[in-house]
Amino acid sequence: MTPERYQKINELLDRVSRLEPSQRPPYLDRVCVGDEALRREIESLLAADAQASAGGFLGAPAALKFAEAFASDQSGEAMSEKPMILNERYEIERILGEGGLGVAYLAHDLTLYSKPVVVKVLKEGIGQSAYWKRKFEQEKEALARCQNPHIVGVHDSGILPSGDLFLVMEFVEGVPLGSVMKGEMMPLMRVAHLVRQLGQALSYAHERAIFHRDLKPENIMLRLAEGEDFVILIDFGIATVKESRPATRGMQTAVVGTPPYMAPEQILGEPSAASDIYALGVIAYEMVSGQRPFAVPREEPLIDQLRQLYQMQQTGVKGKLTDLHPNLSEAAQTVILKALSFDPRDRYLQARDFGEALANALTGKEVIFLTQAPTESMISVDILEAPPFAEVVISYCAQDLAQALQLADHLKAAGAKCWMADHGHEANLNDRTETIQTLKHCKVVLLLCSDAALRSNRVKQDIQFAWSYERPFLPLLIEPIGFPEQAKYWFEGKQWIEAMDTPPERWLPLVLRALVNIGVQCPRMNPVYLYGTRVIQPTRLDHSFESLWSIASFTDQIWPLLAERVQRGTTRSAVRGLGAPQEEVQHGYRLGSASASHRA
Amino acid sequence: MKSSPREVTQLLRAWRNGDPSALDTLIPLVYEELRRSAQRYMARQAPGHTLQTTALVNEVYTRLIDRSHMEWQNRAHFFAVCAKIMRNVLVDHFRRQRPKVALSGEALVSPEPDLDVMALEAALGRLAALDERQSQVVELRFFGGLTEEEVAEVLNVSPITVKRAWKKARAWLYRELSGRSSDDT
Repeated sequence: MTPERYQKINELLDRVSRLEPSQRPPYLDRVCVGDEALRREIESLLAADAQASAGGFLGAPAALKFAEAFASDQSGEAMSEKPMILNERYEIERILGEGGLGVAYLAHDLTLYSKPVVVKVLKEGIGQSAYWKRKFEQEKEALARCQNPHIVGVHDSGILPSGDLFLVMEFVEGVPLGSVMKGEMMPLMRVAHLVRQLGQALSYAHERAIFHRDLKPENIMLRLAEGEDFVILIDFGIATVKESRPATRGMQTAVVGTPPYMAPEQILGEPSAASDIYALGVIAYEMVSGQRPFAVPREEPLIDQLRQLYQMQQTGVKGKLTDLHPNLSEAAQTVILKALSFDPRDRYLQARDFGEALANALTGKEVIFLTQAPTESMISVDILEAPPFAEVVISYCAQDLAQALQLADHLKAAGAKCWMADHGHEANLNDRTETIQTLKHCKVVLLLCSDAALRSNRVKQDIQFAWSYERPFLPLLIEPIGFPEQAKYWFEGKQWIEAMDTPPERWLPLVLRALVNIGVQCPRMNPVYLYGTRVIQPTRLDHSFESLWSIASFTDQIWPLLAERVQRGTTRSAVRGLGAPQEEVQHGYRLGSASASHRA
Repeated sequence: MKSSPREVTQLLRAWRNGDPSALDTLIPLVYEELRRSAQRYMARQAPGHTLQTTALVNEVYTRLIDRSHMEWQNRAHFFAVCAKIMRNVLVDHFRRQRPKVALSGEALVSPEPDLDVMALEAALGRLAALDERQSQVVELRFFGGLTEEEVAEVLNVSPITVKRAWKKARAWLYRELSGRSSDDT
């Protein structure tokens, strides 16, 4: 079409438009004589005009489109103009998302058989800001210091030709906790499992002066390992590294985080390890109830959200968590609310403690808080350690004699009546009558775990007898052990105390507290030991078939024993299911009274 | 880049008085301000919120123009500059995003699914070859959000001419975009 023809069409269109619809066809008949194409052209444009005005075509000026196009101008450039292979090594596949700091890409490490990695590029524009650049450097440093299976690691870092910084991290396969929660209540056992791991991972980072500062369900990845959730913390994007080298004094800490998970002190710009514990508290609350403790209206400007959140935090959580979840115990509620305390000092000292406390409360383990120091009447003058009066049997192998003696000294000092499984019988190791008698009547067996002990026949025998007499165990790790298949039984889901490379004042209170829990009398123990929050429960050897199997594989001698029990008609307990953990405690006390009557 | 309101006003006046080089200086200034305003808008608006172009441009205008020298004609010409910029940005935006679709394998969310911006741009180019003024009217009205009176001021024609040109241009573009081309092309 030529401009002249278009001009002609336009002129005719103007004229036709002014006519009544009924007059149009005769008019067109007249002016388009000999030019059918012209007539079709005009008719089609008239129809188009009618449809365009009816459909509002181009009616509203291109409105929000511009704002979006303008606003995304930068990130769009970041994607299209960056080289697709970074440092001749990382091939960018696609964008994964935008975090607090920059854009994350899925990439492949060409030098490592295209292993998938995450490349995090500092946002353009942000690169000019000294604050964010410093944060980026800190993130790099923080992650380099973290070597923990629950925390994502850094492989590499570098500078793009454009001058932008980037980090290369492990690609975590799995699902974010956020997409698992979906605003629904999660099974309490699963919550317990998750919260314990999260507490441990955070404590690990905290011990290295690294705070997450943006802990939220989206930053927690879950990977299924052997049928169980394995937690991996990602995006330590805004972790503050205390005494980080690039930081200079007097620099302000900008408020960073995600509102619903921000602790009150974080809103004020003073985050700490306690802020992460708070965030974990919010997440725990959310996992248990499907709701957040404080509802912040999202559509409002950030500053208003934060102001409102702060006020709600000050007032405290409204309503009872136990009302939201029918099976939630008061104990679990107390633990979560403690983590959500307004004052950071009222929260748990360590994320690990919170995780443990909540996991225990959720799994129904009774937490005993002793409120009184032992009274005078409980003190027994008689501290005989001869069978069958000893309440504690220390089981160990010959190589660990020194540690066993040290332990016995400490226990005797606390007033506990204990028996060393073979002390004084070096001359005749085959005569174990006294030890067996003591095992039968003791309240708890303290097992010194070392590699040698787990291979020792003597220790195996102790375990075997303790099992048949239904005595609880307290494993005490005195050296790092390889967790052989057989020993797994004690350490999976059970509690133990680590006593390696640490002075007795660290682990002794835990041991004594555990003994008191099971009903062992320690009249001379330092009462201060009783007021800790960590409660250690000695391990019971469960009388389920599964545990029988575990013990059998460990002792090799359990089957004859089981047969003997069947003959004696005492299989009742042998086929009993896993006892509720609460029973452990009661059992301990029942034993205590039985033992007392025995002594009397 | 920070520009003084006086500078922008003078450039605008120079352009109106027929100095084409003034526009070259003006566009980057206005572009930068538009981008900043748009980002501010995006930050405080929920997605899907309707934003009037005029509101956005007005904000930029009051920011860039010397209020003591504010005239109605200046405003119309300023909008004309904005219209040019917006058209370019929008087209660039969509042109750039195309390969991204293939890269990520995810469908791109178009702001107005029934409007193909790239097709509109191509049709507008063809329209300019047939009738320069009609394409200018579309640019000013649709991309710039100007009223018919403002378009008339910028193009120095009567409002009724703008009205007719708009009606015909819109019909022609509509037909182009719905895939029915004329017989003799």
